[in-house]
Amino acid sequence: MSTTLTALQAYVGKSISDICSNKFDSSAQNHCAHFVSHALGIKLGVLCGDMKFSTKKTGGSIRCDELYNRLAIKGKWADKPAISDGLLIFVLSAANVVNNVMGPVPQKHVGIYYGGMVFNFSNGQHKVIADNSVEAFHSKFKNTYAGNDISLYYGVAP
Amino acid sequence: MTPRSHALCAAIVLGCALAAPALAADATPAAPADPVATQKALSALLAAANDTIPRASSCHGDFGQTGKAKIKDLLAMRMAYLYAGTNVIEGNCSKAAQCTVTINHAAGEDVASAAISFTVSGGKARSSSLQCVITP
Repeated sequence: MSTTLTALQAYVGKSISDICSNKFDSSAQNHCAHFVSHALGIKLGVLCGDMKFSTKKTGGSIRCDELYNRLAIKGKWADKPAISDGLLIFVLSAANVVNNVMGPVPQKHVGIYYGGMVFNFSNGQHKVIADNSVEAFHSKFKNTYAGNDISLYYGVAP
Repeated sequence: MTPRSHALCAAIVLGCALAAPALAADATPAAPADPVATQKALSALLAAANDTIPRASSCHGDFGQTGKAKIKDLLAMRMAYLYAGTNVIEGNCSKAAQCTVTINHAAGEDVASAAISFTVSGGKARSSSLQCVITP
């Protein structure tokens, strides 16, 4: 499902409970993959609706690694396609991406790149935000995650 | 912070997390802490530490181990990142021997959660029953 700048801007400031009707909205959970999956209609791997029988197979993906590993087109951010609006942008230690397969390390994050900005779910602020540049997004996580190899990857949403 | 002091800090925080699992990670009022229930569930899971995680399980993954992923590999990765912030380990078991252990971490934008559910037989988690809800 493609998106637009207007659609993404409409998410800014929203909490996960504003976005997810499946009640998968604990602030103890990380909702980065959950947000991008709702915003782009991605259903890969475990979904937020899979927690209950009545909502099974509904909602969006909740894990970054399941998302990345099941995408057909993905790689290092430096190798992203020329048309980049709407790309998923992942950030984590490069040591946890081996042979283009992302490991289940806890420290990883994903957002949606559009118009030079990165729309992503802030787990510290508990709402969707827009980082003004890829550099700002990258810098934030370089200052948050352990390791000196915090790197960016892209994925083309199905 | 030097690597050495960082490592020391990691050990202390992990130790605190294990010893005092009821620290609140959530702004919402938490359920009363029950370290006895946590100990029972955690003990059953640790008893199966050397058991292989089935490939079909939602707990399966490559945790950087050599060979097949075991329960201890999953736990080691989740616990290794509890080096700062607020870390909560909680557990409980129902009368039907269905248990859940949750490991939650929050340090600003670095937030991660793992809920590991399993059935228990003879005081040990059955690896064939392992199911995980992990974010991100």
